[in-house]
Amino acid sequence: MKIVGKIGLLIGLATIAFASGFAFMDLRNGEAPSAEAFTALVKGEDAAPTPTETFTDHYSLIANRHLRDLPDDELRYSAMGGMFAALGDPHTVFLRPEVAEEFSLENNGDFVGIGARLGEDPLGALVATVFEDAPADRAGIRPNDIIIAVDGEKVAGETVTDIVSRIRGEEGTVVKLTLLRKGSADPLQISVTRAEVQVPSAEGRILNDAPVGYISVTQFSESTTGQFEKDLRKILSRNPEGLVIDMRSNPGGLLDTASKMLGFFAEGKTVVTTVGRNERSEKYSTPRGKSLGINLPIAILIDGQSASAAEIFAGAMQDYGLAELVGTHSYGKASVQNVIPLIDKSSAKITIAKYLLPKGRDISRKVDADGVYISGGIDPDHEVELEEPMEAIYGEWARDSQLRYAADLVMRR
Amino acid sequence: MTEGGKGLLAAAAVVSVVAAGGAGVLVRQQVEMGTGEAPAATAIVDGSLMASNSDISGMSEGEYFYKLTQLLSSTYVEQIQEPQDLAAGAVRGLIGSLADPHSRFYDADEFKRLRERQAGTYHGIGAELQYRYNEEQLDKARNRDSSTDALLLIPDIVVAAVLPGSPAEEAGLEPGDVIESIEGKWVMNPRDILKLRRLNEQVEEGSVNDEELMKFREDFNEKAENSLTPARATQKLNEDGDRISLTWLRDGKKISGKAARRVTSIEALRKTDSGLSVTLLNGSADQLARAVKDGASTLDLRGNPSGSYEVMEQALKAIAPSGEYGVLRTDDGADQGVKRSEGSGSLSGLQILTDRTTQGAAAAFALALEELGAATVKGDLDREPIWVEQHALPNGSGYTLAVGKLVAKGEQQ
Repeated sequence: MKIVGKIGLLIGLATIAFASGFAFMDLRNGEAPSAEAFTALVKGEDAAPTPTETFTDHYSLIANRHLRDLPDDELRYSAMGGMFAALGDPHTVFLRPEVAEEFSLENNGDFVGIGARLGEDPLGALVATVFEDAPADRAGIRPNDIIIAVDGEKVAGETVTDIVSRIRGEEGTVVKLTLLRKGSADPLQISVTRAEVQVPSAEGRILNDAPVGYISVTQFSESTTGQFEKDLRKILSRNPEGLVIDMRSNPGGLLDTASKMLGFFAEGKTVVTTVGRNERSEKYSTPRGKSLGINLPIAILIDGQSASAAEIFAGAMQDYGLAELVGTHSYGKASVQNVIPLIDKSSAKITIAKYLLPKGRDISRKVDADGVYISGGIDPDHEVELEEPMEAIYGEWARDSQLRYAADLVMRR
Repeated sequence: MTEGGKGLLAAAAVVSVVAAGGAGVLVRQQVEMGTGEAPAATAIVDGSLMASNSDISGMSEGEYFYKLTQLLSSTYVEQIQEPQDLAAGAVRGLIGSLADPHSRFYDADEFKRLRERQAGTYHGIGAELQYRYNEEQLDKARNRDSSTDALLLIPDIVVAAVLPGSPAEEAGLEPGDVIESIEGKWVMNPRDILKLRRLNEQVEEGSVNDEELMKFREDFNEKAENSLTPARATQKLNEDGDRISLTWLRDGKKISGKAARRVTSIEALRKTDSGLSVTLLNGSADQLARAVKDGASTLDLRGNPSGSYEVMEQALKAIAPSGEYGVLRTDDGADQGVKRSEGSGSLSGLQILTDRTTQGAAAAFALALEELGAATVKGDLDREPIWVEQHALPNGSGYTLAVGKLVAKGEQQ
C-alpha cells in the first residue's frame, strides 16, 4: 500500500500535526458482548476465566472491599493504565483525559519557549543547553544553571515535562525564572520574553584541536538535510582526516530526512524495514545519485537520549560498515504510534509499526511494569562515558571526553 | 524552546493510518510527515460507531476493558502472547491507585516467594521487610493532590522481623533497622531529598551558604547515579546468592555488615524459654491444636509482622471457642462485616506474649482469643490490625488487599 511507504517517523512535538476533528472510537460496539457471551456458552462453566472475567471479578472485589472508597473513574483509568503498561512498551500507553488533553495541546505548537534544553534535577530543572542568541541566552541564562522556581512558584519535585509547560507560553509574554548558579551567593531572578526559536539542527566545523570534521545534529527536521549538506561540504573542502557526527541528545524527527542524509554516504541502500500488525514489511531506501563520495573514517556519537531517526541514522551507518559508534547506548525508539482518542476523552497511544535496522535489528526499548529499562537501544562500538556529566559541554574539546575519544579514533583509522 | 528537555516521555511519533479490521475502529487517515506533505484527511466510517450518541457512564468496566483489549489485539505491532497479562496489568494499576501500604501487587515470581514465606521458607537474608511510607504524601496521592511529590513517595525499607537462624540474625540486623545501602549502592529514600530541599530553603533565607548546597547536590547526584530502587533492593535481599555487604540505620547511627543469602526455613511452632513461639504458617492450625491439647499454656506471638489471615482463621477454628470477636471497619467508619470464630473449643486460661512486632494476622489472632475469653494478652501490640485479604490471578501473579481495621465489637468510633 502506497500509504505505508510514505509513513515517516515523527518524533519531536513541534512537528506533530493532528488533522482537525480527530476520529473517535466508539467503545459501545454492539457486537462484542454477544461474542463473549457465546464463547462462554461454548466453553462451559468450569473453563478458565477470560481476561475480561478476571478483570471484572477483581475490579469488583477491590472496589467493593477495600477499606477506602475511590471514585470510579479513578479506578478505571488506573486499571487501563496498568493494562497498557503490561505490554512493556513505553510508547504504548493509556492517557487519561487530563493527560490526553495536555498531550494534544503540546502537539499543536502554538506555544513557544525560551530556547533552552532542560534536564532533571532534584531541586527543579537543570539547564542543559542554551541555544545561541535565543531569549534565554540573551537574558543571561547559562548551562548548568538550576531552575528552582517559575513565576515565583517552586518547582522542586515536578517532572521536567511539567516544568517545561510552565515555561512555555504565548509569544511575547514574560516568564520569571529563579535560578541557582554555582559561584553566585543568592538565587538569581531572571525574566525572559518568550519567542519563536529557530534551532539550527545541523552545524559543522573543523575542530580547533584536531584535523577532524565535527557536525552536530540536534534533530531531523525538514531543513536539516540542507544544513547538513552545506556544512558537510564545507568540512570536506578542508580535507580532514576524519569525521565525527554528534547525535547525542537528538530525539529524532523525520525518517525521510535521516534517509536523505544517509544518501550522502550510501546510495540506494535499505534504511529501515517497516514491520506492522499485518506483518507486511516494507523497505525504505536511501536516494540514488546523492552520494558525496566520502572516504573518511567516521565516528558517530550517541547517548541515552539519542532516539528514533538518530538511532536509525547511526545504526544504518554501523550496518553499512561506514561508521563506528562512540558513547553510551541509545534510547531504543524506532517505532510508529497511533493516537486514538476514546469516547471519554482519554486516549490510547499504541505502537502500530516498528522500524528494523538494515541488518534486521529490532532496537525497541523494553521496560518492566514500573517503567524501568530492561533492554533496547543501540550499543556503541566503543563505550565511553562523559567524564564530567555536570560540567560537560558538547563540542568543547576540554569538556567533552566522548568527543575526544571519537576524534582520536578516526585519526587512528 | 525547551524541546529537547521534554524528554522522550513526551516524544511521540504520531501516525494515523487507515486501520481496517474487525475492531471497527474509526480513525482519520493522515499522511505522515515523511515527505513533508500536508496531511490528507480521509475518514473511514463504520456507521454503528459514531461517538455522538454514546455515553460513557453507561459502559461497565468490563466492557471498557474488553474494548481496549480488542483495540490492542487488532492494532498493536506485536501479537499479544498472554491476554491474561493484560488483566493482571489492569489489577496492578488498580492496586497502585489505592496508594495503600498494605495493598500490594506481586508479579508471578514475587507471589510465589510470598507463598513460600507463608509456608516457612525464606530466601536471601531471611528477614521480613516492610515498606514504610510518608503518610502525609500517601494521603496527598490518594486525594490526587497536585502537589504530591513523587520523590517523597519513595518508601523506606524497614526490617520488620529477623528469622531465627537466618543470615540477617548472623549479621546483627534487628527489627526497626532501615536498609541504607547494598553492595555500596545507595537504596533510594526520601531523607536525602528532604535534606536537599531544606538546604535549598535555608539558602533562600540566607542561613546556609550556596556552596554547601551545591556540594550536597553534587554528592546527591553522584549517589543517585549508582542507586537501587526499593523494589530492586528488596529483590536483592530476598533472593539467594553471594554474600553481600549492607549498611543500615538504627537510631540515626549507620551500621555496616555482611550477610549471606541462602534458604532459611522456620517451623510454625518452636519451643522457647518463654513458651511456645508461634508463626502462623500454612498448616500451623493443626499443629497448634495438638500443642494446646497437649497442655501448652503460653503462646509467644512476638516477631510476627506478617501472616495470612486465612491461616489465622483456620487457627481460630482449631482452638478457639465460637463467637464474634470483632468487626471490620472501613476508613470512613462504616462496618464492613462481623468476624466470628468457627471454632468449637472450650479453651481458656491461655497466655499470649506480644509486643510491637506482633502485627497483622498475629495481632488479630491474639485479640480474637482475648475477646472470646480464651486468653489474656501480655505486652504491647497493634490493637487495630488491618485485615488483609490475599488473591491469586490466573497468570500466577497476585495481590493483597486491605479490607478494614479489625476493631472490637461494640466499640464506638
